[in-house]
Amino acid sequence: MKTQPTAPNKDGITISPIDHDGYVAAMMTAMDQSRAQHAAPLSFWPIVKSLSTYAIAASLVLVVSLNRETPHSQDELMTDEIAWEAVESGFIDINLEDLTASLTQDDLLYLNNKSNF
Amino acid sequence: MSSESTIRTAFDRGDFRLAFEAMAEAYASDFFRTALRIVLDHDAANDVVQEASIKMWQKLPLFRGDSMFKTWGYRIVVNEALTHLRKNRRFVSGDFSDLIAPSSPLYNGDDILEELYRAMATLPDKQRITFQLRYFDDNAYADIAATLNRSEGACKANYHHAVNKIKKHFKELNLTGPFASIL
Repeated sequence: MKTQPTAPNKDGITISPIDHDGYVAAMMTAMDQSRAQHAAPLSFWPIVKSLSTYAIAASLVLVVSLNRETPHSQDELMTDEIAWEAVESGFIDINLEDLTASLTQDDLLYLNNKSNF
Repeated sequence: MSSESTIRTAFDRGDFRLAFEAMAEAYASDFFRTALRIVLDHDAANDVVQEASIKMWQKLPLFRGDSMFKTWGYRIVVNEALTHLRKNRRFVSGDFSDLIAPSSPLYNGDDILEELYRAMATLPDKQRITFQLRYFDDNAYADIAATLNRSEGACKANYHHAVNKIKKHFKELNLTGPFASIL
C-alpha cells in the first residue's frame, strides 16, 4: 500500500508524508514491543471462550475491583457488589467479546492463573 | 483496493500483523491528529498513540467487524487520550493545563483558529470531541456515535450544544471569522 499523503487540515495541524511515515513506524514499533513482551494475543482466546456465564459475571467483578483506585474514592459509584448484582439481575447485558475487549493482558493473565476458573 | 478492504482481507485471513500494518499505513496520521487535538501536547499525543497501538494490536483478534477498522481505531485512540487527560487532571488541582491550542511543531493555526481552540477548551470532553470529529474531520454522526460508543441522537445533541457555545464565544468577542457561516 502506498504511503498516504496527508494534506493540511482545518484543525491547523499539517502532517507531511515524512511525518506520516514516522507515525506508521511508531505504531509498528509499539506493536513489535507488545509482541516481544506478551504472548500472541490469540493465545488467550481459547481460555476466554471456555469461560461460563458465571465466570463472565465474576470477571466483571474482578475488573471493577482491579480498576478501583482507592477504597473510599468519591468517584467510586460502582462497587464489586453492585456490579455482581447488576450482572445477576440481567441489568448489564454483556457478552464475552465485550468483556474481553475491556480486559488488559494482565487481567487475562490473572484470570488464567485463577484455578477456580 | 481501499485501505479498509486491504485491512479486512488480511484480517479475514487471520494475518493480524499485516492487518495492523495496513491500518497503521492508512490511519497513523489521523490517529496522531486526533490524539493531539484532545491532549494538546505533541509528546503526550505520541504517548497516547503508542499506548493505543499496543491496545489495538492486543485486541485486534477480538474485533467483531461490525464497524470500519478506522472507527474502531479512533475509538481506542479517543479513549486512550481521555484516560491521559483524566490522569493528568488528577495530579493537578484546579486548571489541569494552560494549553489551549495544540502545542506541536505540526500546528500552524492562525489567530481565528486559536480562538476556536480557546472556545473548544471550555466545552465538556464529549462535546469537544464530538465537535472535533464532526467539524474538523467531517465524520458522519453514525461514525462519531460508533467511535464514542454513544447514540447518534446524543452526538447530534452534543454537536448542537458545542456549536451554540462556540457561536456565543465568538459573538462575545465580536468576531465573525470564517466560522460564522460554517457554524
